[in-house]
Amino acid sequence: MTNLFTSATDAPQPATAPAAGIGRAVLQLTGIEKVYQTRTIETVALNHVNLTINQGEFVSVMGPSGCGKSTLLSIMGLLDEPTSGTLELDGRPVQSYSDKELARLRNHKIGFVFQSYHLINDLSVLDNVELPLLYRDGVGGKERRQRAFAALEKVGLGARTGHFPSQLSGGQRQRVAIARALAGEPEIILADEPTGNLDSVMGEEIMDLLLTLNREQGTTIVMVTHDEQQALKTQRLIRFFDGSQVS
Amino acid sequence: MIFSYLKIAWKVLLRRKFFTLISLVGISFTLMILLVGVALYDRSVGAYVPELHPERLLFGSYMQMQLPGMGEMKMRPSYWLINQHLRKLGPGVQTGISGEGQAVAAYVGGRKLALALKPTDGGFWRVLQFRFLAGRPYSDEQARTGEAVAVISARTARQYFGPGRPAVGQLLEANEKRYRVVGVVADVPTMRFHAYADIWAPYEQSALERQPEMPFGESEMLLLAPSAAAVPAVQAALRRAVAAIPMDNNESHISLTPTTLGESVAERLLARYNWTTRPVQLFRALSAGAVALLLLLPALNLISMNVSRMRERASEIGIRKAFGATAGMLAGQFLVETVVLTLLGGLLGLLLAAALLRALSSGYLAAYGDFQLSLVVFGWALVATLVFGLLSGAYPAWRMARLSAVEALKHARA
Repeated sequence: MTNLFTSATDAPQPATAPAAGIGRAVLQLTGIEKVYQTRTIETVALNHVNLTINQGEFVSVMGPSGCGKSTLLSIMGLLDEPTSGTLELDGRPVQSYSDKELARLRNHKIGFVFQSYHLINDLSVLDNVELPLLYRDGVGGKERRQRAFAALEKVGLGARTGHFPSQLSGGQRQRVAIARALAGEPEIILADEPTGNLDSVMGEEIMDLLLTLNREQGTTIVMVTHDEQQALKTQRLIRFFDGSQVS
Repeated sequence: MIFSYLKIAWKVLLRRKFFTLISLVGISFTLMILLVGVALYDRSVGAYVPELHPERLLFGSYMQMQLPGMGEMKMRPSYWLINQHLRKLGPGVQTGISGEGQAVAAYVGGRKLALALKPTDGGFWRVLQFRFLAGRPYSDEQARTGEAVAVISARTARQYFGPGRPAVGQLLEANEKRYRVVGVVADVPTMRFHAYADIWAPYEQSALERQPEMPFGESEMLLLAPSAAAVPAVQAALRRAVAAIPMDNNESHISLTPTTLGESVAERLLARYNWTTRPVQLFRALSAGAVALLLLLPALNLISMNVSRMRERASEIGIRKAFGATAGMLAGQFLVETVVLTLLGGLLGLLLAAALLRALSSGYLAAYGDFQLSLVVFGWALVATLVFGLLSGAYPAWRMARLSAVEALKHARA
């Protein structure tokens, strides 16, 4: 079993190293707008965003707080709908999909990593990692366990399957969250400030893990971050300001 | 997936111990009250000795009399009226007459036994199927002539003659009258008030002679139809027989509506308070209302507690949605949690009800009750529990499942 965590730290790669194979557009955003409307205020979170994410790319998104980065990630992750514009996943517009179909797409195509881990505290590490497979048709309990264990091995936590999130350090929790994102073998991982709650050493470890994942498995990663150094390690850096892409 | 739902349900219950405790107390007490109510009702109107065929039984307990200018009077029929006018109701119909139970006293070694004595005719023993432990019932002839014979309950035999001692053929003295015991029957619960007594004896002839040709008295008529299908015909025949009774005053009108065992219980419970002239309908409405309230109030409480916990579980909802759970799957999960909680509460309620019924069985209020959690009662408990669970789980589950994943994750605690 390849241990992504160990291989990443043992053999760091240059920031510009090519991924396993950058190819077709997996995510295509055209004229995306997101407006939050209250009785008195209209807030434009995203303003006419055009963006293409290609298969195998590692893209980082930077910008000040409130500039729309997380909203962008939510729309890319099919968790939120744009007010206008179109989002295509694998060349197909997703606006016409029902909630059930969107849930199925999220389950098969997308993995999420959150700043505050968002693990379910009542579940063991293994149960947490199994979660995406729980909602997938045709995956039995035994296969679920095997795949979740393999994902935990990849992030170097094969010995912690029976632990609960509260028994782990911040870095370990984030590695569990990454294992959960990997367990369903998604094409795309959307990471919202994955190192935001970690100290610099732990942050480096998680970053190396994501870089290795992208490089060795060709997983497309879009990462929102405030850390310029980490952003520079990715293949493309997109900057946002007041809901608009500025570079 | 259901195994996973059950696992998380169990963990959620353990994590929120206080909430779980409060919920379990509410659910189990609700179900306990329901179960005890159902068990009492079942013991009152179900097919138990001596009313083994409630579907064929009818009771004429109250007569209505319309008097010009005086409104309606409601009273019990007399022995004379039943015996003289209402005996012949068609082939295969068994009729019996019994009076209200009277409190009598018997003394054993200086100790007073407070007993209930019910006067009956001979037909009483053919309408009701008592379980005779010894001896036999008194005959029609013995009843007609008012012979001083009696059938007594097993407990009376035990208390009066001593445990294990024969009672049949012995003399029992109550209210200074000596009865020769001809039979001993299994104890009858007080709730089976048509049959209940400690001593059954023929009507006192002197008492009957004091009330010649009086339509109202202190008796009731018992009828056993040859089949359940024949019950409406027997009811109609009884109404016709009552209508044919000649009245002194042509403007007066008497009627008697025979009731089933269940209806007679309702009538007994409510008629005495004069709240209504239609006690059966009122009893049904009150019972339905009480059950609805009993289920609804704790269910509303559980709903409110569940909804208020939604924010606490926002993170989990957001995570599950992000990783592919549909609203239906989440609703299913939360519904399973509530149903697991209510089933646990149901189990607890069942145990509490069993304990309470055991206590009631030995108490004065329902002497000889012998209440049991029968299969019928257990079935009711299961239905009530599931209704309760679905009632209290559906709305919170729906609300939780509709929660936006983005909002849930945004407001969730780290």
